[in-house]
Amino acid sequence: MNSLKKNGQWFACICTCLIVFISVHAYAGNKRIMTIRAAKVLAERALVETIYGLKLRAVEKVEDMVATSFKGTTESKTKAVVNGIRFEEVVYDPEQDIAKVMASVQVDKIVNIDGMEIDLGNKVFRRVAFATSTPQNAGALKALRAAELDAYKQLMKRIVGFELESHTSVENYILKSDIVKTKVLATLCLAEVTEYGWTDEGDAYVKMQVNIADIEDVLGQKILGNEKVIEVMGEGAQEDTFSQATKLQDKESNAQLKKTQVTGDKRP
Amino acid sequence: MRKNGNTMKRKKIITSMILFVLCVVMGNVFAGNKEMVEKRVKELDKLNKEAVNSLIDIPKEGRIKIKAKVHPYDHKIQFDLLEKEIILKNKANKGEKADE
Repeated sequence: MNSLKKNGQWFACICTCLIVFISVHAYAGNKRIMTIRAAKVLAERALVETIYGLKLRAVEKVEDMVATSFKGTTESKTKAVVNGIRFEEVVYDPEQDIAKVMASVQVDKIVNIDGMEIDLGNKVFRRVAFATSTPQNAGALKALRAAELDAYKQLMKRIVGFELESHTSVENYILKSDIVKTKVLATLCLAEVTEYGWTDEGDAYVKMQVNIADIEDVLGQKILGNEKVIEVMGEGAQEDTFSQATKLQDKESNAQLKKTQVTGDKRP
Repeated sequence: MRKNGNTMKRKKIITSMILFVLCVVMGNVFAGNKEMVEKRVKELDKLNKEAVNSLIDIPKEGRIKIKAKVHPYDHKIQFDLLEKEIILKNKANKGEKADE
């Protein structure tokens, strides 16, 4: 009787362990699939941005040349249907829950974001994207996207130029910038990523280039300069140390203001 | 007993030293965007002064408002003036539009 009881207990214990083991693995599998799927979608977006193009709006403004007054925003938009995208390389790191996907597509002709038909001569385009389902691990990937957008912005500024608006004061022929604002609103296609990565400090960089001849064909006009290829490097940070510093400065100035108010009240 | 006490003290000191080093290292792991913003602010200041210098006859004292299209190329910059307004100190408004 005793041995039967013991055997039963063992059986129950093994069953529980098995259930726990299976359920844990089932969850991990779902996470892996979701992360890979997200990376595939992002790789598709990257390809659409390269082939079809994207619309980008970026504004930068600074007052009195004080870094804490700096405001910079960049927004991007794209929407297209691209057929025949293949996923050449799918890598998943289960420890960090990060997926890397390389997507490629061969395109003969395409109508780009400006409604112009471009002959791409069956060229194969490749783009890489990363994704994660774990928010704690997203920092490096967000920095990479920020670097990508920065690179797009720099290319647009170089190709179509940008608007500068400023207020400057002059004292004894010496200039002092009071307000400086730059604006760029443009579309860009055929930008290719040549290199990407992260520095030792964790900041991301993306090198991007466009072939001037291709862009001139699309625009139907000559671009200033003699370069055949324009290459830029975009940067993106993981940590918002700027906002942290700004908040700290705000707190200090508020405290100082309170102090001066208190001393001011005491005065007769 | 005394030996045990000493080793405990040593362990505590070593642990606190490791923790301190870790804190210092972790604080410097991310460079962050602060440096990027400061660099950009300097670039904007330089760009504005270059634009004003190349587009306007600078008065001795006053305020200058400009709107220009900027085209960077081959490590040079071309400025096309769209609007300008120069307010001289203690003098009447001397505003004008570039295309007028």
